Amino acid sequence: MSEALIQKVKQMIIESLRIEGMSPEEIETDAPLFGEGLGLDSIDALQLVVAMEKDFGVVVPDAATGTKVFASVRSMADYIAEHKK
Amino acid sequence: MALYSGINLFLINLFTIMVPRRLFPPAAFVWGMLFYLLLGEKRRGFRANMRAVTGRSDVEGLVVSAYYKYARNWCDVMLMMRLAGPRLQALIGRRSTQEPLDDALAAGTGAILVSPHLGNWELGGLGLADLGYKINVLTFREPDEKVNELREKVRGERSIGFIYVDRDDTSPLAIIEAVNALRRNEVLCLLGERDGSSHTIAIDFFGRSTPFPVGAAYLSLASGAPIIPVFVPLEGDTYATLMDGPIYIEGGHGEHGQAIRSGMERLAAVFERYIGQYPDQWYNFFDFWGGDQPAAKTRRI
Repeated sequence: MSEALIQKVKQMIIESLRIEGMSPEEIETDAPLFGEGLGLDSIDALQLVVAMEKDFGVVVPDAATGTKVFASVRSMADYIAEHKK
Repeated sequence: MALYSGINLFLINLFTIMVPRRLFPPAAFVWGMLFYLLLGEKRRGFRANMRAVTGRSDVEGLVVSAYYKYARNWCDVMLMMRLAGPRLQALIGRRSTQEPLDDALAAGTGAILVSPHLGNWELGGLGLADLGYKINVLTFREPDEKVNELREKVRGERSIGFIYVDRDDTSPLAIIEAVNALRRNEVLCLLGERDGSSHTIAIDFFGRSTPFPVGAAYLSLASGAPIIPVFVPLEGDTYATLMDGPIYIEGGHGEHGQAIRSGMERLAAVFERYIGQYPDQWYNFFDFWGGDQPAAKTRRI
């Protein structure tokens, strides 16, 4: 998977969640998105579902898939690369 | 004795097949009084709710009226499940503007229609589906599987989608399917004032701290879809379909808690206004503030 896609995912997270004062470089690619990692909350998860479809045309169909996809930036990028139309 | 059970629905359905609608009121009165006399705990719970809503101590007239209207409501629910087109629409009398809904769909956000347990909320969904709106119902499973089967059959015939929510699932990802429906610019219908989910916040409702489910707010915040309060009360022999103004919930990362609280307070205020107008059609046959609902966890967002 390309580094460019990982950067795009990081940018999408910052823009869609309106996280002020953070740059893509500050987001660790393999760190957990929720809890101790980036510290996102439950609403952020749903907003990322919407953003992924808007920006990449990729749908997260259910909760089980969502739990795997939103583990980290890398897992998100993997899923996008696999399912992008 | 459960009011909402497969056997009750079977009997009511049989009745509505055999008897014309003009004879529903006297039969509903007899049924309603029977349940009123037999179900003491439910009667006491409803009476407590009416006292909280009206601020009066003498509410027995409202309690009796509620049992009658609820029985009548169920006759109409079973009848309307067999109706479509003009015959279904004829059950609807007064109609408010549908502009908030049409505006939301024109904007491509989808819409979240939220009703309290007031009047014939099932008719609202069926009526909109009948008019061609793509409807999805976000709901818990009923304990009686026959009730679930019936609902799925009726709604399936009208292409109404079902999204079941697990009461005990604390993950917000449990409502991903609902978010996706909104992204497809569809309409999501849910009941919005009764506790029972794992996500609630305490809101002032009729002057009492009340755990309000926040699923609608989560969905609005995530998708940009407005919450539109809707009501389908019985007025005379027909039902009014009333749509209030849209409530948008917006807030960036770190502002979610306040945005949700503010939106839910606005929704609760709208609910209070309509429940105050139709108190005997607010069908909660248990003490709403008495703590005998299924346990739920009030959580911080």
